[in-house]
Amino acid sequence: MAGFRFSRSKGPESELTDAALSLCAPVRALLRQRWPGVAEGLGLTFEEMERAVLEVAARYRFGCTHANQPTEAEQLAFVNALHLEELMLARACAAGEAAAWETFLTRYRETLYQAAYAITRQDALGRELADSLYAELYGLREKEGQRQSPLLRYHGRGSLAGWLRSVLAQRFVDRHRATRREEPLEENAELAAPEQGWNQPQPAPPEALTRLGRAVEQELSGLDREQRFLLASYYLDGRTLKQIAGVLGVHESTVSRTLGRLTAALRRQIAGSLRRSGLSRREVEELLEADVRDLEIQLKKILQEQERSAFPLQQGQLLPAMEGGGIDG
Amino acid sequence: MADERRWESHPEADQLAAFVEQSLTRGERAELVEHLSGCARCREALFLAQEATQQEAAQQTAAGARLAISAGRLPHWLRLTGPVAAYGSALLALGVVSVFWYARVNTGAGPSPGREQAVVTPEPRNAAAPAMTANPERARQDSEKRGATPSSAAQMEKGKKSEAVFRASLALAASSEPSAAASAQPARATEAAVQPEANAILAQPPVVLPAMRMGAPPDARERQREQQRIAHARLQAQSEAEARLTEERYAAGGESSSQVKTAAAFPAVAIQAKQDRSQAPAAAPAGEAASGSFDAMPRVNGVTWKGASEPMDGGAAPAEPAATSPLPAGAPVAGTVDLEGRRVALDTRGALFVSLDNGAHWRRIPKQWKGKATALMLLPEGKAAPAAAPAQARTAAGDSLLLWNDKNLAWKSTDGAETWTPFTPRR
Repeated sequence: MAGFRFSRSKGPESELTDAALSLCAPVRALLRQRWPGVAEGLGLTFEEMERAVLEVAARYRFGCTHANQPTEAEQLAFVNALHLEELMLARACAAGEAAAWETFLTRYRETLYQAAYAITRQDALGRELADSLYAELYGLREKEGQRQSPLLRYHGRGSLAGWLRSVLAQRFVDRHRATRREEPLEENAELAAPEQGWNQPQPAPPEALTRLGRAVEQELSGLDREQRFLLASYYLDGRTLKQIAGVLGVHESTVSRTLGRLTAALRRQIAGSLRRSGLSRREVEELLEADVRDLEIQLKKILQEQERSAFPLQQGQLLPAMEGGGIDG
Repeated sequence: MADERRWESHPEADQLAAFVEQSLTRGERAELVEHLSGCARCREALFLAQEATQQEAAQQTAAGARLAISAGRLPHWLRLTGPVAAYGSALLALGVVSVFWYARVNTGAGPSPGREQAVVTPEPRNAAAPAMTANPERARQDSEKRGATPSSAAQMEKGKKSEAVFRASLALAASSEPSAAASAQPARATEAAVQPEANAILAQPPVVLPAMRMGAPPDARERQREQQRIAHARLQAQSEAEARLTEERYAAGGESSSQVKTAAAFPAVAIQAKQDRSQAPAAAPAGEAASGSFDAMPRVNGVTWKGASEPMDGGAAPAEPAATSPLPAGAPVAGTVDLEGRRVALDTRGALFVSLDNGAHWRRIPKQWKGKATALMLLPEGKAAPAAAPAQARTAAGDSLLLWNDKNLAWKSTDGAETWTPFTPRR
């Protein structure tokens, strides 16, 4: 499975000593301007705020995926997009500031519990999930004499409320998957061969079906990441168009059109591949009407387990309909 | 500067939140999409978080709508005088209702002499109900004679019923009091124009709620309220207990989740259905090639009850569910044939399955015919192909199977449905 990569922080001190990762003057000016309203009331000094921002910037390299030094414009855009107030609130809470905790409880306690209920859809389980996170946020864990709070892992890229929801969702998913005892992907393919009720040899599928399966695998393997994300979300996860649109930040009809175009294009490509393999047009049409249960392909494995090398982002590679409001980096 | 990135297994919650909120850079977003396209775990977390966000947004919108009609959005003059006007209008409305109610109900001297007061029980109401509904057909015919449409006839019927009820309530107030008699006179004057069922209502003993009348002793009202509370509590407890019992029973019996939900939602229906299934009529005599069509299924209360345990040959429904699992993919069965040692079944999607353990487990037969299989038939050796009719019968060794598709073409199998070859009937 393709791993997700980002710049890992080696520690605040090491980043501070690295001159290449220092904040430029416009960014410092921006922080100086915003510090009174953001961090001063929480009992944080300007240096502490600067240190926190630099830590986040070093972690994400100012949002740059290229290997070059981030420009001043990129730095400014990155810092400007941070939720500075919430980042400082989180840091103050992690440090145990009482005033910060009062503010956090006032603003986010209800959000925390409502999100837990919405995610688990059960009162008891939601309360349990929220309570466990709430206790951890307060820093009841200690390591080497220091309070360990998950709030330290909030970096201000998104809102604090969104971060709380994501944490709850991740914990719920991990707990749900652990208790569900999922089978490995190889045995849990949804479009696998017919039912294996007992150990009896299965008759080999006709050769035409094998060709079709190969063509489907080949075409699916050639999809780009957005297309695979769409297909996986819609067909494997069973998400609705509305849900997918909400995540991608586009209109529901956009997702519908994109999916329609994608499936039509796939069908054309599969048909073309079968024609090139020597089948007549009529045979191809008949084959495309075959029952999918006769195909011996593992769709989930193809869409999710594909090993692919990182390719550089090309201009216009994203589907036009899916280009959301991402900041140009 | 050297690229010092290291690989992580999953993105952090902050990145997922930033993705949803469109706060990532283009490159970061592309990387995250790359990961999400291959990681079901992170996709699930992402969509759950998004749903929670949408729910909170919806709640805030609803709360905002409520706030929009608060004082903050009202005109200035209304903000000042609004509360006073609200209280005043409420008091005025209460006064009007009180005067109206007092004039209608309170006769001042209690019940009229010579007129019995019936205690409110369901029986008098039900006894009156047939009178009210005894002639809906007549009402419809009358309206049709008058040239009214069915919908307007229904409205007229409804209007007349309400008028009849009103006149019945007026009859309660009819007494020796001149004022009450005067108020009832206009109604009585038009009795001739009222439908006959209205007169029947007026002729009925009045249904009176003693506790509802002004002047009834307080303890009677309290007793009635207590009786109602007890009755409601009993009904609620009974339905809850019944639902729980049915749910547990069905869960223990291995019913599907949808069946459990149905049973829990409609316990009486589910219990009745189960009783009906156990009392299904006797099967057709053995040897008859009973049709496996939908019409042959036992019907109960106008609904055909069919489950995996239902025998397809029209036999008697067993007292306990048979150990037969539904066909894979869950499509209904279109036809079955029992061969020696195996059972072959065709579902409505055209897929063919075979079972060696009397339907407990099924194995799919790969498609070896064209088109969609629609019928499965038995072809006993030495006999011509019968007319197109699905058959379910037990057979002897050597019998062949025939499968028909939607183009009326046939395939034959002589090895227990494992392999199929095109079949041409002998003429």
